[in-house]
Amino acid sequence: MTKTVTRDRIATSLCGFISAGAIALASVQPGFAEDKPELRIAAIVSVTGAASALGAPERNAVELFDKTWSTRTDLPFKVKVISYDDGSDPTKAVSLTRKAIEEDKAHVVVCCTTTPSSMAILDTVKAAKITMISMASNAAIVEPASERPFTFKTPTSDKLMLQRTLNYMKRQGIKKIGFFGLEDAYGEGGLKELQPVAKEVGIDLAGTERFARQDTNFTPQALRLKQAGLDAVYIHAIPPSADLAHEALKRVGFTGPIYHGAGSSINAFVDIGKANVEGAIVGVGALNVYDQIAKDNPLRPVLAKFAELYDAAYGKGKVDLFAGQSWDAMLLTVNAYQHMAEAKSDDLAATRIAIKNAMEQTREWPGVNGVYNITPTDHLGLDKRSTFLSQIKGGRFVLIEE
Amino acid sequence: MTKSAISSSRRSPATASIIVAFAMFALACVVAAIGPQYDVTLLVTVGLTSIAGMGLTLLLIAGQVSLGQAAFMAIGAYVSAILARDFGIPPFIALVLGVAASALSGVIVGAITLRLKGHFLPLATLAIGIATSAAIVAAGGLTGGASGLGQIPPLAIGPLALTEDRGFAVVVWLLVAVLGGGFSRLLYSRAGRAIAALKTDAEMAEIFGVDATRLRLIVFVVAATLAGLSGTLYAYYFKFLSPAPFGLTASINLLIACIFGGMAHPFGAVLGATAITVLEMLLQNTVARMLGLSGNVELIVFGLVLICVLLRWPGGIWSALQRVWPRFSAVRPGRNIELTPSKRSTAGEDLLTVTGISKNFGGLKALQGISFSVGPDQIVGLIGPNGAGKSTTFNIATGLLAPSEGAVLLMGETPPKRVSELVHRGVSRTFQHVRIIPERTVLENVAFGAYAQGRAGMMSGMFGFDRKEEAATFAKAWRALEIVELDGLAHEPASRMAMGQARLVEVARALVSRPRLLLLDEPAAGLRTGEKLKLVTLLHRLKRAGMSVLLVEHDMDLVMNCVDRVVVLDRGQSLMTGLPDEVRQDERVIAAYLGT
Amino acid sequence: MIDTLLFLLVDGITNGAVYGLVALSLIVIYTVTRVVNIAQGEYVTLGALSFASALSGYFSPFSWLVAGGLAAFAVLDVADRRLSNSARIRMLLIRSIWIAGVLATAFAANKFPGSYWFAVLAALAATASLGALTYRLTVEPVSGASPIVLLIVSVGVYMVFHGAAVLIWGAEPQSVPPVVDGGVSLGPVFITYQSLWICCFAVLAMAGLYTFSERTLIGQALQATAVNRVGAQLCGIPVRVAGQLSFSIGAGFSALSGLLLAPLITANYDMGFPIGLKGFVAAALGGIVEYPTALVGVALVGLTESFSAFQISAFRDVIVFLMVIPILLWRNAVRPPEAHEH
Repeated sequence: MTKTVTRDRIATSLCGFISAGAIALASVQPGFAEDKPELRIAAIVSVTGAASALGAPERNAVELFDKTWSTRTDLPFKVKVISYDDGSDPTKAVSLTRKAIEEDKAHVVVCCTTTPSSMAILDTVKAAKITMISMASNAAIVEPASERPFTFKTPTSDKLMLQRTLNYMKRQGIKKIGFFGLEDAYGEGGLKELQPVAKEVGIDLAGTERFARQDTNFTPQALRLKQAGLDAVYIHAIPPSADLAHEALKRVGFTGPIYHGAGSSINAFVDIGKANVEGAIVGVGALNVYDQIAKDNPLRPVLAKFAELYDAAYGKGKVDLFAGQSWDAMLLTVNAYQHMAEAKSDDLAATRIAIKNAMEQTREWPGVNGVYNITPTDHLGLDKRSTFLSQIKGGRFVLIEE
Repeated sequence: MTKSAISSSRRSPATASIIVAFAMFALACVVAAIGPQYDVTLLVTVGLTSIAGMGLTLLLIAGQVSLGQAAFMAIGAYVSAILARDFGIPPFIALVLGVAASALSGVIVGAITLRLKGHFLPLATLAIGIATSAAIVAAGGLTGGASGLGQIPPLAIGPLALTEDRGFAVVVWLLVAVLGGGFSRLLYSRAGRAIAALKTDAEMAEIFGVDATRLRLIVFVVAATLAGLSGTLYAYYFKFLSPAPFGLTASINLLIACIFGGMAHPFGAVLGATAITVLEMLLQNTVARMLGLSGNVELIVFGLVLICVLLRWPGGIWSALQRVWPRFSAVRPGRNIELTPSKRSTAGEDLLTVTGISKNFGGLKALQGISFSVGPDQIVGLIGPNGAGKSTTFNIATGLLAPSEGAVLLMGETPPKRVSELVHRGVSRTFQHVRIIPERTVLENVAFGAYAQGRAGMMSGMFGFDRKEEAATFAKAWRALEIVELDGLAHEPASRMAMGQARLVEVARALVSRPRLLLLDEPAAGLRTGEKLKLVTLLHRLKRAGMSVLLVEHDMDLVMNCVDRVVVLDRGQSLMTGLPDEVRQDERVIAAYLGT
Repeated sequence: MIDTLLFLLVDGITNGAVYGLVALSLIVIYTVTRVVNIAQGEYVTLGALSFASALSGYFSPFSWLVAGGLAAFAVLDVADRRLSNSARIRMLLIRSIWIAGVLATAFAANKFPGSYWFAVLAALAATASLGALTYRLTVEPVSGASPIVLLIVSVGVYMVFHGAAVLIWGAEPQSVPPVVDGGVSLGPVFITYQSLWICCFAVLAMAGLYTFSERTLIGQALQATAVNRVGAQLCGIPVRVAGQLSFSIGAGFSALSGLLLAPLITANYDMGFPIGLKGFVAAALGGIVEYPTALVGVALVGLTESFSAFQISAFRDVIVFLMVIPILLWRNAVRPPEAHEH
């Protein structure tokens, strides 16, 4: 008897819950600006799921942007940020993108953290004619630009970073290297870029070993690499697995230099690896070494400001590469919106296309990731000025002068 | 049309299913036609989850759990996408091949794992699910690895391409409606009763001719096929594949949708998929926006939903609807049909002959040199105190156990290797511990007894090609219920039966299979005196109708009142065989009974 | 070649030891409550994360949550009308001491940041109590349900724990110092002291639990609860207490493996789940009921993983997880799980 009563109660409350939700849902409608035009940016970030280590700082930067820009009254327009989490799931990324396009009437979609999610929404944004700015590293997201007219991205391509790293290796007399990377989309992207770059530079890629983010043991693969008789190993992963892979290599007695991709260029790499990762050579963005680069580098003030803002909000030394990727995406959007050829209007479709056109006119724009020169054929717009090499010395990223 | 005709047709769950399926489809069409693009995406996603979920629900109804259902989705999706993209196979054919690949892997996985008992099966499917995801990543050259596989061509038949989102939604929901309506109808068909019987007790199902291993495999393959269909459609809709949507999380979410919606009915999967999506949207729109915590809150809320539903509300949303859902009913036939044994036995030939059987369990001699026979139109009682070896004898006689020594002849032949063959020999039985399908009505339980005489398969069960056969089956079931005088309870759920009634339901179920030899395992246990008298009358009546009965019973009086001959067992040995009067006066029997 | 073999062997074993502690927890829980606990890996995570935060002197809300939950159930249990007054007082006393213990260890760790042993105590107390709480909340209400329902419930528990771990500690990995820095060289193979610690604990725990459950009366009674409730009651152990105890022990051992492992791979929110699953593969060899066979399973999983990672690293997970199928088939043929459990 009591059981049926409880069941009824649950049924009633569930019905209530659903209908309340439906009302809430119906009432969430994008508000339109009364006087000033509004720029709506939807940021879809992988705060949870497999890519959350990247997504969390990206979300932080989005929030930081939201706090500093939505409240500004000195602009001729208002900024509205809509945040979603795709849970590292491409299916969800697609439906959230559609939601952002349809319901939130966003002007720009900043999405996504991962390569699979970014690839999954390509068709959707192309059909809706809305600018999308990805935060994933794979160059295939924006190439070829003719097929992906509305897709842009902020992180330096693995290719640029690898070119710099491998050229440096070559100058150091390294002839034979091994790849040691994650088996997720991030690691896979790195490997796909490494193969042609290695050929181009003339370095022999003699070993390829993979590991998963949650692995507890990296030694077997490290052993294999050691036995391949390599001059150097290139690790393409993110902390903590990047640290653990590095440690495993040292443990099995690999004595050659160990290089890291940009995934390791965050402070957590040093915090976790401590003394074990001393001497690692890491491909970094300007952010890690902004106080060491030339005084007249246009990036320096931008980076200093971002680091100051971010660290003030989230704690000293917290600023990292991934945060910079969403930050640049947000600011590139604002920049494009400010420089639209057409007048700002409430015509959504026209504004979306105008923003895209303005994006392609971005010239010498200094961001956290580098200086952007976006053109209709180059939707990344970064050049080798965005890449640096550093070595871990005394727990710091120290710029290697080339 | 008369009023009563309308009301009776409304009461049928099959009609209700068709109406609901049609209504679902109509609603989906409306949303697809006028809803915003975003809603159409959700509609497709819900539809795809529903298709895979209905398969899983069928699996749950058969008493199995899979924690790796998304692996079959992945196989379907990847096979069809790769074939269509890299091998230039027309998308529609690739779709069919993808679904076939899922079905095939279902056959392989099922053949290997379905023998696993209890919680081993979910653990095995869990492992297969994880291994499949890992394999997709590892075989990056073919599958695009973790980065995914793009540029999948649109679904097309010849020049007719399905590129429009809205059209796709209509197609998906057409499938949901057809499959949902079909599976709901299937539940109340011959195959559906067998599937439900499988969950209750596989051995019981086999007695009535169900090949349990095969049916289990079929259900598993159907579930895998539906998952594959859902996966291939996913591939053609999103035109981009990656391992993420087919991981363990996806399998778990599918299970949550089925349990939340209600795992007793295929529509539960649709309800669950819809409810989960609505809940997800609510969380995204309200909680997440306020706190900025979306994904984790979602995970926690879904986890809580799963726990709460299982702990408090195991029927899910469906159980609320079930109150208004019509109960199954079958019209009582006007004319009287006869329930006679399938084949009249030729005079003189013994139906069951047991000669000198012994059985050793390890070092223990459970039986030694037992011989007796059951002739035509005879009721033979097998009696003896506890531990005398009655059940062992019974099981050897039906071929469940092989004797260590001696021979058994059933209808003049050795007992069949498979239990499911017994019923074709004209043998049926009841069980010492009642084994009826609790969630079905009395009438359906009895109708299940006619399984071996039917031929309608799953397809005809789904789409209603079995009307004639079902009418005959239910006519027999009604008749059997009349014989045991339980026709008044025909539409009651079997779970509500008292012990004595349940035993009679078992007898009726056995009668429907039209046996020549009926084996009754302690039919009087738990019966009241009045019911026992009824049982005696019933046995005499069966004998007159040309049936032979082997009766294993504790109750001496009952046995003496109705049998032609008695076999007395004691401590694994045959004490004596004779007429009731002889046995009653035998000193050894009296000693054996009083001595214990 | 010999070096490689030695390396792989040592690594396989040390890694297996981690799975071993989890396999052990799974067995303790399964034998007493018939729960196939999919959420087991999350106790590893929670143990490691709460340890990391306790060590850094941060008073995590986790301890508060656990203490709060315990308090709520203490109130409900004490209010039970069927209890006599003396039983009520005794229960109140036990529960108060329990809650005080959880909070006291947490406060101690908070007062002495960096103190290794206070942090260990705080983490173990909180996680083990969470185990008991989980039993009270999710298993006791349906203790008669089939193992499959209990299994699905544990999937729900996994989701809640996983989400909560990220909410409380965030997605960032936290580095944790080892008990003792450094290691020892065994020929060419360098083994950290931490790995040795893990092995020691695994073997000790395995031996201890085996002796406890097979040789002591309480251990026997605990196992008996799964089979026969009345019998267990007669031995003087209420089913409820047995269940809570087994979940506490299971959660505690998993947490221990988590906090021992954290120095090697950092503490992060998704470290536990794969470990839990591999623990299953190991425990499956013993049908999730036998300690000695599980020990073999642990070595088997550790070594298979190590060798397959060396040979074909891309397919190592495929191999390790598919290995469970023949294991289960073998178990199923030798000693099938009870088909009709009530």
